[in-house]
Amino acid sequence: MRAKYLLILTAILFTATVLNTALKERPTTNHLSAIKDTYISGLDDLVTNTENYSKSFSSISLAQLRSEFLKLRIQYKRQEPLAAYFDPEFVKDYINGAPLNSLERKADDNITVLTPEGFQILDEILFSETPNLGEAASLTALLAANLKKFKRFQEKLLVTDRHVFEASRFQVLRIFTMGLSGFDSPSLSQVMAEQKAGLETITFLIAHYYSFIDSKDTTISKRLKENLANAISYLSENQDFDTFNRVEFFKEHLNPIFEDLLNAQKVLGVETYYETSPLHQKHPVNYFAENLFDADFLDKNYFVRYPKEEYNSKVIALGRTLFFDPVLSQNNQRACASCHSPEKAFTDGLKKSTAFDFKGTVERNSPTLINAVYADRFFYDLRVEVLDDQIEHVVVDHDEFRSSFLELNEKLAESDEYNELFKNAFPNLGAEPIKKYSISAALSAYITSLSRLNSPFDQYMRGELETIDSDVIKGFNLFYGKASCGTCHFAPVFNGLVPPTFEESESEVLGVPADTSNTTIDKDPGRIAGRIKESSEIFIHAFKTPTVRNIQWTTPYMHNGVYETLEQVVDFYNKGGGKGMGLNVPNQTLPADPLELTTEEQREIIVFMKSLSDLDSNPEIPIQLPVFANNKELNNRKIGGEY
Amino acid sequence: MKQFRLLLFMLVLAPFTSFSQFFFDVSVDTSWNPMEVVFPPSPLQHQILFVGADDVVQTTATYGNAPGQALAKQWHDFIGFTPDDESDDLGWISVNHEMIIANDSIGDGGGMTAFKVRRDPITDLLEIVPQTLSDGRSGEFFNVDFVNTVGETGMNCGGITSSVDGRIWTAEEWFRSSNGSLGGQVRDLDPWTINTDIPGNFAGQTIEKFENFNYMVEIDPKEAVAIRKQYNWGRQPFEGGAIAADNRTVYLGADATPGIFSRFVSDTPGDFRSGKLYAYKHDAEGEPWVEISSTDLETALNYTDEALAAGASMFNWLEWVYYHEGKVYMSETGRDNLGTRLSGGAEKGGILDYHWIEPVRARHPELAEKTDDQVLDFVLSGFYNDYYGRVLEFAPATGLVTTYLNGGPFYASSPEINEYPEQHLSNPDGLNVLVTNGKAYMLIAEDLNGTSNGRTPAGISNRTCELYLLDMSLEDPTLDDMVRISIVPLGAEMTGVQPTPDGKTILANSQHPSSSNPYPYNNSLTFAITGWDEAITAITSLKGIENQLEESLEFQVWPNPVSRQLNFNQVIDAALYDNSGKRIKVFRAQKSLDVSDIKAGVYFLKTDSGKGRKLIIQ
Repeated sequence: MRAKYLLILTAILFTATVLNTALKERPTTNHLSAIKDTYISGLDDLVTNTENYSKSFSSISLAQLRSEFLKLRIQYKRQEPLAAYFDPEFVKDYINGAPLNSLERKADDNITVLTPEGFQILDEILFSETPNLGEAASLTALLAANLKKFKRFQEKLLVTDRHVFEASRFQVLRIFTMGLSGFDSPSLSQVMAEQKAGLETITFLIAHYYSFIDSKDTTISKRLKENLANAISYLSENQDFDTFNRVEFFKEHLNPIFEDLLNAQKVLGVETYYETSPLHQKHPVNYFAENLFDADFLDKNYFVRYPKEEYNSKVIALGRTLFFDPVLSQNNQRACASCHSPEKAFTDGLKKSTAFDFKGTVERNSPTLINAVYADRFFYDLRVEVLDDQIEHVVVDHDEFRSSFLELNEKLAESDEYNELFKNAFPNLGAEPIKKYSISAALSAYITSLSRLNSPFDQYMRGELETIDSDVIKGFNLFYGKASCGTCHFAPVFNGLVPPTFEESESEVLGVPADTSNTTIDKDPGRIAGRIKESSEIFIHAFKTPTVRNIQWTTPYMHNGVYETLEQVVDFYNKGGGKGMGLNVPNQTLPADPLELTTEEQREIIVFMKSLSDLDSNPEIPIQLPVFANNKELNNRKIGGEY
Repeated sequence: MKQFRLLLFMLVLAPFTSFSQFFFDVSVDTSWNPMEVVFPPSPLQHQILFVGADDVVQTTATYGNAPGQALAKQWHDFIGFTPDDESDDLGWISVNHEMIIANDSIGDGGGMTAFKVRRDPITDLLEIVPQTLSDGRSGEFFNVDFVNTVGETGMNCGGITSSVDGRIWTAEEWFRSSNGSLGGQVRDLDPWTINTDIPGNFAGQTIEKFENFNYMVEIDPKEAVAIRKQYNWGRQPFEGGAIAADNRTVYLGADATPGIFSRFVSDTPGDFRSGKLYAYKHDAEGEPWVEISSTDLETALNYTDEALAAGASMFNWLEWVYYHEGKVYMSETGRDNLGTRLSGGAEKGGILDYHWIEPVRARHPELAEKTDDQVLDFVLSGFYNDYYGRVLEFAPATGLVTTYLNGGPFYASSPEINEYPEQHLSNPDGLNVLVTNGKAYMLIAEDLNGTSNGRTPAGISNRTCELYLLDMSLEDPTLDDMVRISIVPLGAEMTGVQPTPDGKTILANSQHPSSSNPYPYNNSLTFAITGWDEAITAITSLKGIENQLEESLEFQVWPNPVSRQLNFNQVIDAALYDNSGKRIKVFRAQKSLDVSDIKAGVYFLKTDSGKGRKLIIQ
């Protein structure tokens, strides 16, 4: 009797344990497990096929190797929406990173250069004129091993509805900003087919939600289905890279999908990343933006150090006053505005800006400050991480302000008016609000306020302008297509801020010459002399990729101001940069092959770039500067400085 | 039986609730029942002591500039603590600046700041003590003068606080290979003539300027000056070190791949100028140490190569070193593709340290039949990825380095977020020991070196570095024994963890935080958390409560009111609503929630099975 009881008890306990375990692995919902199962089995197929492909190297012809490779790429592209979303670090390191040397992330004792791995370098090797098949074979074996590892780490993923919507929306961004420019497809063999694969995956993912969406709003599903189908057939019908109309595709198909994915997510009440991350965390992409070219598509506050509450009119106004006040420099003659004049889109029109005391020049060309905030590195050599910190370098540089923050703190504190302005702008900083922090934050807030993504081109892309010069559209298609400008100057800022996450600024090695004879490379070492932990040979002559917005006002061009006209700039790229013009630039990241642009095409690119102008015609400039009661001489200082 | 029925009931419910995962209303009606369990608020008090680029340091005459003031350098790393035995003040704090930047009055390169603190008898909080030094400088924070004493340093990272008397050494990471590698941030690049009282052939010799970097450098925090570069300990990319109770034995770790573990034994206790220097070699005959000359400049300059040629054991990125009750603890950072980075050292004669055997075998069961030598070859051939690192222990009695606590845990594939261990350690860096109420607790600071390969749960790519506490009285501690005690602002590295000798306060630095934190948390800063003598007991009992609650099936939420971490006894999907009913947070498959970012007030928690709880966030 006792034994029987014990047996029953054991049985109950056992069942309880099993049930308990079953419940612990929380019941994933049917549609999410379907999505995940498909994803994992897709990865599984990709692993198997890559392994088989790797084994086939010795037995099939080059033509077959190429065509089989392209099939594998398509297979990867089907997984990309979820893969690149869930583990961007792994994908970049091992699966689909740029075919260039990079630096190991952690560097404690020295710098380690990593050679590229994954699809892109394979594409480059296989489609070169004399492919090194041995190298390709070992890279393929490595890729297969890494894909296998990747799959193992993806198997246990907890997929939620938020992930599905975010991954889909970011894939739409990836398609436009990177896919259509051929960014990750060095040979450009099948760019449109690869974008189609991504859209088909989105179609599959979202199909699981139509019945839910319909229970709230039937129009969204209908539009999404239509637009996805139409976008896919558009890509099937228009496969030619050079003639593909990216503007039309974006306006008619792609952005409506981006917008309706958000609408669907909203009506379903699916959470966004704002609700799943710490409340004070900033995110580069404004998730509620409906259009890639919305003026607030990027969250300016993400890119600066001061907290978002301090991006207010008082702080901005104080920053504006400081910007135009030469009291920041040791000789009270030089202001930020000395080299960044509002009339010239906040540049100075000089090859290199005039140095302190009119003795020579600083080392580089003055860049525009409009939209400068959209970067995660500052200066042409990328040595500073955030706008707020950039200011210190100007303050202490002997060729610029030749001062220090301690000196500035004491100097500004002598002005009652400045004390008041700082107190009002920074009420939390107590009795001595003039600090390195508050000066930097105010100037940074002012520069942040100069962001404007509101040019005619933006307005046209948002549908606010009915029509635009057809040369602009042709120019954009060249810029983002045949001329490859868009593989480094990414939309929407058209700078080196890498989409679709917009968290990293890139530099490039172009081989910019010392002068217009184009015979010697400019001696400026660039990024290698920036941060110590990046002082690698891969960065010699590397410079930050600046924005091309408002470029019509920012002559002369390049880090050394070597070119006076946009025609010269386009000509430089058309010839394949320094290397293409015969200079010795072993690490050039710009392909050295000529672009073979016609004169007409070059003109159209310039027309497009000029359509990115949105200069404030009436910039606010202080009419007077704060008074120094005990230092009358200072009160004669010139607004905007002497330079 | 009751439990069983409840389980059955839940099982029946599951299919119905499961299909509505996204149905957390954007807003809800907020009439919930309150929770009864109320916990006392934390006894811990936070305070900020020293903010980089904001606090003013007193400087000496430098580069022809008069003595004066400057804004302190940033990038705080190591914190040293020197007790004051002569007054009621607590002692001197020394903070490393892990950067290299030119500065007219502080001096070029890296640097250190020293200041003195006392404890307020009523509040127990720390106060900065104003001082006047014998060189006439007067103020609160003092720049440690390197330029006019021993020559500049660069990227001051780790260091040594002597376990005997709180003497301080600072270490410089980033091995300089040329004057160019000083990054243009050191103006005086003239060859350097060594002026030292260390015996040997050092004094009077002239070396290239970069060769005067990368030593352990003793400083005097009381006078804020550097005393001596330890040329006799070799030139290495040092990070950590420790001084044993005999006041003669120094243990040193090099933050490199390969990194050498070294020992210096002085002839006279407390005088570290002369003695014998050794590199660790686990398979050496007799004592596991091979002697390397400590009196020859050439040897010192080529220390790593000399040690490798002598067959020294190779480690990877040794970070902090700590001496406690006869044993030496060291953190070792992990690295992907480790073997290929070590093979260069093996070619020079280095051997892979034996401690790798255990973690490699644990990760690669397929090697079960292989010999230990074959396992080491497997590592050297690049087949072992060391993602998580570990805390090592060296026992002088046995002469062996073993794993004290392995990072990880490793899974062949990443666990789901809800299965992801609460206690997970990826790359220990800072290491220290807090002794309070007569018990010793190891403090372990994380420095995440990536987010892939299980370093964070699948699908999470946020890097949050955490500080853990580990009861050292436990035999064979595991990750589950760690208690998470602090999270620095997002994106920051938690560095310099250093308890005060009275066991009440932990000092720590938040280094290079990301931009999303409000001032001053967006700066490098040194902060103090006081009250550990009381909190330790509370933490231990909280762990007990946690275990009790886990056993009950009723949905439980604690503590309430909550100031930081809210715990649940089940893995839940839930949404948090503010008191107007607006949804502000949604979380999936979690057993805890960090609420430190949420403003104080009344909130409502709603789980996917419809249960509600009213919460008070403090």
